[in-house]
Amino acid sequence: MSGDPNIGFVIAAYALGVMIVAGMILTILLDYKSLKKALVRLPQRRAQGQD
Amino acid sequence: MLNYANPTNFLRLASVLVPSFATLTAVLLGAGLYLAWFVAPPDYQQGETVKIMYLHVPAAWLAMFIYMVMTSAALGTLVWRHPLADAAQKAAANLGAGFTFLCLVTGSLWGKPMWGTWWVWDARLTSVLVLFLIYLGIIALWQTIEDPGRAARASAILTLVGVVNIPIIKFSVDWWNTLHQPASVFRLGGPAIAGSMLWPLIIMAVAFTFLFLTLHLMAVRNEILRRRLRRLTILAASGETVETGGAFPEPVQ
Repeated sequence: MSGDPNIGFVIAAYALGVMIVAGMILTILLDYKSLKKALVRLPQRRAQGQD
Repeated sequence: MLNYANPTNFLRLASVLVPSFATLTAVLLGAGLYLAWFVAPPDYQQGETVKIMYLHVPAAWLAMFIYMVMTSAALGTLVWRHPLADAAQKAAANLGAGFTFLCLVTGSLWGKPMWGTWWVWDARLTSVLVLFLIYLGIIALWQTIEDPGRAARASAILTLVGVVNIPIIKFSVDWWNTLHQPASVFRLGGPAIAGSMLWPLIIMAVAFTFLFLTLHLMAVRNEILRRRLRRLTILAASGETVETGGAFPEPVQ
């Protein structure tokens, strides 16, 4: 396999594939985390505003 | 179906389906990659470069499949006014752009050693690039129109206009002379690929489909939470009681 002259193209394609898919997963997970945090903070901010 | 128009029911369903689909995706991806890298033989002409196929073809399949999901969601927004249709459409757009980009770059990395060029303006490549630009246009519409109801309607209309590109992509290799090869899996005479290469390809395509379903469920869940946050922020600003438990999304106006 490593003797193939074009193996660099194959590795580059899979490396990019991992980066793109990981990027999509991370974006969604980070978005979820920040939304949950903002939802938890909302009543606290409201309570602070009433004090 | 209508039962899951209620976001609370949808969130409950997503909490069960996301871990199950994620596990299934991991198992299928593991099996598919093992078969692609260690079992499937090299092509007699392309050598090991054919391994790019196991990434490129599922990405291309998803690029079109996601657009059809978005088209159904656009109809759901404009015709049936399903309350979660626009959330499903918005959530799918980023994923569609991601998989189309993956299809384009892996195609380019496959084309350079096989065709001797990174890019050629043939019908298949150009129509997939147009699909990628349509995805970016839909994402831009969602980002630029502040009112969610108007953004949903505008992006639904753009999605329905853009669906004309899907048959052009599919049949471009039959209608025009292209450098890209014709269909070799979904064709009238049956697949033109040997079983030892076809099975890893099918498993990778199913794995990618479950990857999309998992990510889409997660992204729709995010959209529901974003609407809940928006609604509660407006309520809080107007001085009403904030209850974070059971808010419903804003209906399509």
